[in-house]
Amino acid sequence: MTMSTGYSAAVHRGEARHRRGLRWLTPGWLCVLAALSLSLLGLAAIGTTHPEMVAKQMVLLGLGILAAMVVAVPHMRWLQLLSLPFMILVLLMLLFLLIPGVPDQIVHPRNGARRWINIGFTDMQPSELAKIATVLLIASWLRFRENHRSLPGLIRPLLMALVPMGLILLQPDLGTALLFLPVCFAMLFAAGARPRHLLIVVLLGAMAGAAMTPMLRPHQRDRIEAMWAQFRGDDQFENDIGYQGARSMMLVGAGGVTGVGRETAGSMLKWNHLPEEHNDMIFAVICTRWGILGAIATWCLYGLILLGGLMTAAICRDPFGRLVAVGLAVALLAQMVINTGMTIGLMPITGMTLPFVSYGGSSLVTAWIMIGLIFGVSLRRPPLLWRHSFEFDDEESKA
Amino acid sequence: MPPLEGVKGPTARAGMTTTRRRAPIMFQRRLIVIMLTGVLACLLMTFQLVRLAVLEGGAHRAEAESRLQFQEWIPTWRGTIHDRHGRALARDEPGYEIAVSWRAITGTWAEYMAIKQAREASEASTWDSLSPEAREALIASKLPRWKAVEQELWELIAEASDRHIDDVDRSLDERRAKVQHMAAVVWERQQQRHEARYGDHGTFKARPIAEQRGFHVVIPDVTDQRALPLQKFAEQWPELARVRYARHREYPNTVMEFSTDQSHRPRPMRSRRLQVSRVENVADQLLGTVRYDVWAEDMNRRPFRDPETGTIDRGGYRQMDRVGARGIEKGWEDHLRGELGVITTSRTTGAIDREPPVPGRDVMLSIDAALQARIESIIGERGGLTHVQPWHQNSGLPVGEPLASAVVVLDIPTGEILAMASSPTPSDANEMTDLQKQERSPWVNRALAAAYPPGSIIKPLVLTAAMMEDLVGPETQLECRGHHFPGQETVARCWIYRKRYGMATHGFLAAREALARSCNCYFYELADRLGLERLAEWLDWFGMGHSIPTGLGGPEDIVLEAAAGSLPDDEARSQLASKGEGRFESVMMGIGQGRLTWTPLHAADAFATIVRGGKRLAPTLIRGHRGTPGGTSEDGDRWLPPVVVETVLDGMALGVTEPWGTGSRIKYSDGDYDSIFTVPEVSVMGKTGTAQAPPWSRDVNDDGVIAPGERTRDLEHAWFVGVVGNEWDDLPRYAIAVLVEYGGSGGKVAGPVANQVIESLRAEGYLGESPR
Repeated sequence: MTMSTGYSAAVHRGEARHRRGLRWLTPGWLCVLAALSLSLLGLAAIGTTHPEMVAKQMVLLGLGILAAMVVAVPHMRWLQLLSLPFMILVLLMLLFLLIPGVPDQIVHPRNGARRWINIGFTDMQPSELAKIATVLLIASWLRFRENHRSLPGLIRPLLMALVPMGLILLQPDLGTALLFLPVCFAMLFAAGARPRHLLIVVLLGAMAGAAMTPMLRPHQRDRIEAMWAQFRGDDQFENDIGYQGARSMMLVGAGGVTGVGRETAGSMLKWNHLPEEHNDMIFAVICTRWGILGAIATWCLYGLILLGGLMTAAICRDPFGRLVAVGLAVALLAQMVINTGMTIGLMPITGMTLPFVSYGGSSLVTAWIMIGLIFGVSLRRPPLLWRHSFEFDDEESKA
Repeated sequence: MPPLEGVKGPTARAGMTTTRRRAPIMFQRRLIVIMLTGVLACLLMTFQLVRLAVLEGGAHRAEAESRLQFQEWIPTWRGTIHDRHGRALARDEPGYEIAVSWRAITGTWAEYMAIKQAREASEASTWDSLSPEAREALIASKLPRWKAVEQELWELIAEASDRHIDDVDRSLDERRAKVQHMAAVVWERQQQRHEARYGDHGTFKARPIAEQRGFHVVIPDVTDQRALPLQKFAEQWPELARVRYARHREYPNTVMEFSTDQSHRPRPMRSRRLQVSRVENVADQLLGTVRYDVWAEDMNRRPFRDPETGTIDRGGYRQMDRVGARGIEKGWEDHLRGELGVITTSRTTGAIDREPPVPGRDVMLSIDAALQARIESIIGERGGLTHVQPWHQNSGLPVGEPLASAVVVLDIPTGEILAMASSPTPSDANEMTDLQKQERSPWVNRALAAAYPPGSIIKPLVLTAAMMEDLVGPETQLECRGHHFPGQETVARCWIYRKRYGMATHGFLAAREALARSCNCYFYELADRLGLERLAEWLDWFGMGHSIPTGLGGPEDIVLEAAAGSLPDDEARSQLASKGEGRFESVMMGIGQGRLTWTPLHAADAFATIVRGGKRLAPTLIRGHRGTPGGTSEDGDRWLPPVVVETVLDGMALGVTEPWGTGSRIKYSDGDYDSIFTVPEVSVMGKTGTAQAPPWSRDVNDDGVIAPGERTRDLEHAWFVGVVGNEWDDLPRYAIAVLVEYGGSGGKVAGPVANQVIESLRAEGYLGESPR
C-alpha cells in the first residue's frame, strides 16, 4: 500500500488528512433549503386539519434544526469512531422494546405496536435512530474495504442492516424495516459492489421473502392483499382493511391538478375521515389541498435533497463521509417513496411518516439530524492528501 | 490489486487541484445511477397520481364532496286505497316499529359483550397470556348476564306483539335461516362476478351482506302504549333494539256487517227474518297487502342508491322498507309509495336544504266495498248457495260439497267493475287442509284469472254476429230437428233431444225464443252459416282470447294474473280447415263448446258490449284508469243496430221470465216450482250456461289423498250471465256474471246466486227506488 503522492506545506501543518477550516459554498445547502421548505410545507399541511398542532410542530422544527446544527459540528471522523457504540446503543434500545412486561408507561404500545420509548417529555422511536446508526456503521465498515466486491464480502454489511431491520420487524413496523434495504443496497452500490452480486442478493432475498410470506402476520398479509385489490379497482376491502388506502386514494384524486384550497381541503379531509391524516397520510393532505402540482413540487424537494446528498458525496474525499451522505440521502428519499407510494395506493399501508412533513417529533428531529449529518460532511474541506476510495476497474471488463 | 490512487491517466495527478474538470469516476457514475433511480421512482408514482387525480379525479372529487353534507331522510306515507264511495280500504296509520339488530338476532351480541367484559376484567396483558381454555372459562362466566339481557328483549317483544315466546323464537329461527340463505346466494353471485373479473379464486372475501349488519323490523306496528317498555329497553341498549316512529298499513272497512233479506233465496233456504252477516278481509284478493321485508328483486328493480352510479332514487327501496305484495298494493306500488323527504345539511357551512317528502298517491277503486262484501258473503264458504243442494240435481257430486265460484258485477255505461269476488279466498285457505287446498285452489282469483268453457252463454254473442252478418233476421224461423247434421243423430244434438226428455225437439223457432230456450240446433245453424273464420273474428272482437287490462297490475296495461282465455287463432283455424274439421268446430263453437274458454269477467264484458250497442270499454278496477280493450282488431267499436240489441235482450228476458225459459224456474223433487229471479221492479235479462267441464281432480274415495287419475268426470260448470236494470229504465245498467265451478245446471245453480247479487245491488241502492 502506498499513499497517494502529493505533498505541500499543508502536509507539514498536519493537515494531510484532516484539513481545518470549512467550505461554505457546498451542495449541502441544497439539502438544508429543501428540508426547510418541506418542513414549512409540513406546517401548512398540518394546519389544514389541525391548526392547533402547528405551534408544537414549530417548536419541534426548531429542535430539529438545532439538533442538525449540533450533529454538523463534529468532524466526521468522530462520527466514524462513534458509529459502533451508537449502533450498540440503538440495538439495546430496540431489544428493550421487545422485552415483555415492560410497563406501558415506559414502552407505550400504539395500535398494537411497541415502537416508542417514553423519555419523559416525549416519546422516542428508536427505529428512527436505527436508520442513522445503520448508515454510519455500514459507512464505517466499508470505507477502506474492497471485499464487498466479492459475494461473501456482502454478508457482513448486509447483516449490519438486517439485524436492526429484524428487530424493527418484530415491533412490528414493516415500513421502517423495509427502508433498510434500499439504503443498504444504495451504499453497497455506491461503494463499488458488483451489480451482479447485488442482483443475486436481491433474488435470494425475494425468494426468502416469498418463503416468509406465510410467516407474515395476518394483518400484514391482509394489507398487501387489500392494496393489490385496490390497485386493480376492486373495492371489496373498501370498508374494512382497505379503508385507509381507499380513502387516501380518493382524497388524492379529489385534489385534481391544482387542489381544492385550504378551506375545502380541510373539510373534505375531516368529513371523509381519513385516519392519521396529519401523520402518515400527510401526503394525501398535500394532494387534496395543492393537487398534483403540490405533490410534484414536494417530490422535487426530495429530489433536491437526494441531489444535494449525492453531490456532497461526489465531491467529498473522505470515504466514510461519502457513504454517509449517500446512505442518508437515499434513506430520506426511500422513506418518501414508501410513504407517498402507500398514500397513492402503490404500496401496502404501513405506519411510516413522510420526513419533515408529517406531524411528530421523532420523525422530524431524526430527518433534520440526517440533514445535519449530510451538511456536516459537505462542510469539510477535502484533505490535501487522500486516496481515491471505491474506484475499481470497470465491472464489465472484468466480468 | 486495484489501484489505490484513483483515476488513471492525467487526472490522477491533478487530483489535488480540484478545479479541473474530469470525466466522472466510477463512484460518481454510480451516484448518477442512484439519482436516476430516484427520479424514475417518482416518475412511476406520477403516473399513478395522474390516474387518480386526472383520469378518475372527477369521480373521486364527487365522492369526497358528497361527504361534506349529510342527509337525513324524512319518511313519507303510502297512498290510500279507496273504494268508489271514498271508503278507505287501505291506509297508513301512525305508530311505532320495533327493529332488532342482527347481532341480537344471532345471539352474537351476548358473546361479544362477554368477551369484551372478560378482556376488561383481566388486563390486556394477562389476557394475552391466558390459555384458550382459561379464556373460554372466563368468557363463559360472563355470558349469562348478557344472555339475560337478550332474553329480556325477546320477552318484551313477545309481550308487545301478543305472541308466545316460542313463537318469537321460531320466527327468529326462520329469519336467521332466510338471511343465511340470502347471504349464501349473494356470496355465490359475488364470487362468480369476482372470478369473471379477476379470474383468481383465492382473493375473494365474503363480506357480511346488508341484512347481516343492520336492524331487522320484528314488529312493524305497535301502539305507543305497547312500545313504551321496549322504548325504555332500547334507550338502555341502543345496539340491540330500536323503537322508531313508523307508519303501518291498516285495512279499515274491510270488516263489514250488514243485514240481508233472506226472502229471495230458493225455498229451502228462504226465511222471513233479516240475517246479519259479517264479512272479514273484504276485497282481500284485490287489495293485497304489504310486506315488511325488501327482497333482492325489489332492490334490483328500484334501488334507493344505485350501486353503480351512487345516485339516489328517493322512491327506491332500502332495507326495512315496505313493499306491496299482491293485488292493487303490488300493482300500484310505484304510485302508492311516495318519495322520502330529505334534509341536507352542509357540514362546512351548516346550510340546510329541505325537500319535503312526496306522499304516495291515492288509488280509487271502482269497487263498492259494501256491495263487494255482500257478494263475498253470498258465494262465501258459509253462504250455502255455492254448496251442492238437492235441487241442483248435480250428476256427480254429493249434496253439501262446497263449490268454487266467482261473481263479477260491471257498471255497463262506464265499464267499471263494481264488485269482483271469488271463492274460496286466500283467507279461507287458513282453515283448509292441504288436501282441500289442492282440490279447490283458494289462491286463484276465479273472476279474472281462470278461464272456463263458456257453454250456452256464448249464444247471445253468436246471435249478434249472425244478425250483424245478415244471416238471420229477428223473425227468421229455423227448425230444430234434435241434431244438426242430417243423418248423424249422435253428434251435434240439441240438449232437449235426449232420452230423458223423450227425444223432443224444439221445432221451428225464431231468434228470441231460440235464445230463451237455448236451442242448440238454432245456434249450430247460425255458427254453420257464419263459418269458422267469421265466428272467430266476432268472438275475438268480443274480447275472447285477450287478457283484460283491469288496472289490477298497475297503471300501465300490465295484465297481471289475468287470464286471456282461448280462441282458435289463425294457425289453429287453418289447421282445422285443412283437416276438414273447420265446419264441425264452428258448429260446436256456436254453443260455446270446443276450443273456447274465457273468464267471468270476459263474459260480463261481452254482454255489456252488446247493451252498449257495440261500444267496447275495457272493464276497469280503478277509477280514472282505462285500459285498451283487447280484440279490437279493427280499432274498437262496432255499431250494433237497435234491432240486434233489442232482439238479443228480448230473448234473454224471455229466458228468465217465461216458464219455458232456461233461467226462469227451479224445479224441486216434490214437483214444486220456484221462480229464480224474484227481486221486484228489476228487469233481468240473462243467459244460462251449462258447460262441459274437464274432469275435477279430487279425493273421490275420501282416503285423504288424490291418487293420480283420481277425478270426477262428466261434471258441468254452471254459468249465469245477465244484464239487469230497473223496470223503468230504457236499458239495463249492470252486467252480472256468475260462475259456479262444477255446479251443474246454469239456471238452477248460478241463477239463484245471480238473484242474490241483484238483491244486493238493490240493497246497496244500485237498483230500485227510482229518484224519479
